[in-house]
Amino acid sequence: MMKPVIVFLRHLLRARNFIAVFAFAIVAVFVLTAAFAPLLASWETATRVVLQDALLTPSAAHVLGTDELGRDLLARVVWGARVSLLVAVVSVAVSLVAGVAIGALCGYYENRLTDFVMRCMDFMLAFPRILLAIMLIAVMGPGMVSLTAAIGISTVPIYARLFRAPVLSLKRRVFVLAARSLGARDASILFGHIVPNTFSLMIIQGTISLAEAILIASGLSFLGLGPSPPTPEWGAMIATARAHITSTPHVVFAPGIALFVVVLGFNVLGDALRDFIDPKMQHAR
Amino acid sequence: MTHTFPKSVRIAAVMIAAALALPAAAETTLRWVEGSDADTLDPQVQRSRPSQIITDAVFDTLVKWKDTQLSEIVPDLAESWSLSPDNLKWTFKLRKGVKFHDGTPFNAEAVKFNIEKVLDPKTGSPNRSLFAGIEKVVPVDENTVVFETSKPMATLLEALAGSQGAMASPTAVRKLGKDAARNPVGTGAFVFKEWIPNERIVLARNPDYFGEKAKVDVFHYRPVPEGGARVIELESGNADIVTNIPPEAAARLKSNPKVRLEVMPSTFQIVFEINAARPPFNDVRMRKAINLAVDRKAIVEKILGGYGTVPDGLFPVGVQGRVPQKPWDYNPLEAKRLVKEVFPNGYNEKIVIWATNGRYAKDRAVAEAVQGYLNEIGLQTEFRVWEWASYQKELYLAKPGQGTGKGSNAAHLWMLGTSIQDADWRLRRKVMPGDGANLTGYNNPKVTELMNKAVTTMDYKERMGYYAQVQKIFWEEDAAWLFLFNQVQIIGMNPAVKNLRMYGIEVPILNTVSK
Repeated sequence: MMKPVIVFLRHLLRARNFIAVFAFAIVAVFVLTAAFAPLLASWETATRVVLQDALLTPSAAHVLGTDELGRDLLARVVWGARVSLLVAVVSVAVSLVAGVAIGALCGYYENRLTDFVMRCMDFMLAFPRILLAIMLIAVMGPGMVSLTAAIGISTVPIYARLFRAPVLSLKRRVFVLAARSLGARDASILFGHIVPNTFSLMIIQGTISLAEAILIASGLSFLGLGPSPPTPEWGAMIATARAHITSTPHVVFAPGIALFVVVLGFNVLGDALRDFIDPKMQHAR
Repeated sequence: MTHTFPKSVRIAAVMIAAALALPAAAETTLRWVEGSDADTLDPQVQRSRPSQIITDAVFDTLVKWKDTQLSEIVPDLAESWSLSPDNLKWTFKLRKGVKFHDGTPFNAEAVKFNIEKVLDPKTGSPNRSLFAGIEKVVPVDENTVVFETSKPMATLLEALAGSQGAMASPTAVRKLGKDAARNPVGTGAFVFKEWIPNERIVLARNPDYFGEKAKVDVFHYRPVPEGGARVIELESGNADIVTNIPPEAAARLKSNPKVRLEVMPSTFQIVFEINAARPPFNDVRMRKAINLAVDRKAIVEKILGGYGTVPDGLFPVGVQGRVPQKPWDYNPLEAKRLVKEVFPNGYNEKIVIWATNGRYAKDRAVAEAVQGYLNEIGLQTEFRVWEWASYQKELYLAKPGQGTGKGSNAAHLWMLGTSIQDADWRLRRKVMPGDGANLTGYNNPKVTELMNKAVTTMDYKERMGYYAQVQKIFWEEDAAWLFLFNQVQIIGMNPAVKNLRMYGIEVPILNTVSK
């Protein structure tokens, strides 16, 4: 499990791509923070309303200060990381599984039904993603589950399109013909031989999608469609705090910078991963 | 060496300067900036503040409130009125020689036309029920009109003073049909000029107004939805009066010598209505407990930045028949004791809280704070933030057979605000069993009886006495709602603006404003 990561890091160091190493560190810190949030700050500190302590500037007791309801900002940013990571990972996983399955099946069996399915995907793609997600949340009602589902579902058509193309070309390759002539069934050809050839694409696209998912989740929460209070969520924190940007800017900056840095980290990491995995890109350098 | 502009440029510059300067010198324009645009300019149909700002300026009513405190009803288009001994016939003597802006004379026929228009269900007036007791309107002669009612209607004058009692030109309404809602023709201090939706509404001074004539020549209304952008309009001198200033900006504006900031009371009260139809809040002790659990002073000071007031009763300043009550104390210990008294082992189900986002001042933050206070006294909570349109739909949805009989039954607490300034109407919708707006399932026979008595009591003082009793019962004995705060109107203006008076419903009296 750890070995590919070490190989990748060694590659980055050898290529002197320190920005990517830094991005890797950001993502690692983010993931660890999210995973160990309860050890870093209690849920109680993140959600307890103490109006007397509202909008304090950073101090020893509150390293990042407090928000407009007197809650510790550091604790909220930490717990917000957990929410963001959870929503992003689950939604990307959902969309990856569904999108790859639809894309692969539609690429493998080209018939009227798959044409129809792909037209449906195109129809969904025609909507801006955030709008599609808003419509889905409007149907399901706001909350953590519907937020995750909305982001996941709105990403499915992108994956379906993206994974259909390589399947179309792979299924005509000689190794597929060989497998078929040895009597392999469709399912084993598709999922045993063709889909594994798209793993690199999945990893790259997955990493970049995580960044997008975090951003969209925050955007939707900013609009009030995210998890219900008092659950800390970066987008919602920015939304409530933005009124104070002139008087106490740290309330906006704490979640804002966290969001910015994490999304940047995922994007840079995704780029580096692509360079690393795709041999053609390596030669091009 | 001197550089000069070509002659043509200089001439053009002079002409532009002249074009800009001339109208400014000739007439005064009062520029009003508000958060949203009017939705209709039919006074009988409108249900939003922006619409009412315009329709109040264009239209008059038979009678009106004397001042913004609603202390007394005084003549407007009617010079005097009398009531028959059986309390069923009202005779109004109309002001003579008044003409609508289109030249149509104002007379008894016009009154009949307008009242029949509100009563016609096709008009779609949300306030039609206020006139439901009127049987017919009989023009006796040019300047005398009689209202016949099926039962004594104590609230008739108040209803006539409201926007639903506005008198529009029958000629214009007949001629324009549906378009009359976009081209209002009344008798008011201002004449309607133009309405470009989402851009501006322009009114001009009515030189023939029968009352105190307007002090400015033009009234220019502009909607600017974003709070921050509204403040900039004010700071840059593009607006004379800006309403709904965000509290965060108020501090900054205070130190700006080019801006005068005024804070006025509003009749807008924000509460959590409480589902009294099912546990745990069907027990009055639990309702009292949560009222004691919330520190309203901290909410007003810390969240609203001091721009709000702690409620001292069901009626804020500016509501008719207001009787201040003893404010609820912040006493979490007593609250805990009450909860323990009702549920010795604690209440272990989740209290479902519904809140709005961006509808009322700091609504979401206030709701989160309340959630925190409820957790402090050991109640578990579940929170849902709604988008306004679906929220309203869900709350009022008829669901017969369920506790409150409405969609509201799915929640224990839901946030709502009201700004109605008529005592009877403000109470009736919320306390009478079976009323469409009574979302809590509130049903107190004593209150119902008082309300029934009030509506047929012709003596004003006596009637207000009944409302006073209802206010006390609702506030203290029943603790029917979780009262939160009263909004205030934060208005920024050009220091040259004088004599701006606002009703508690956040609508101005415009003819006396000068600049």
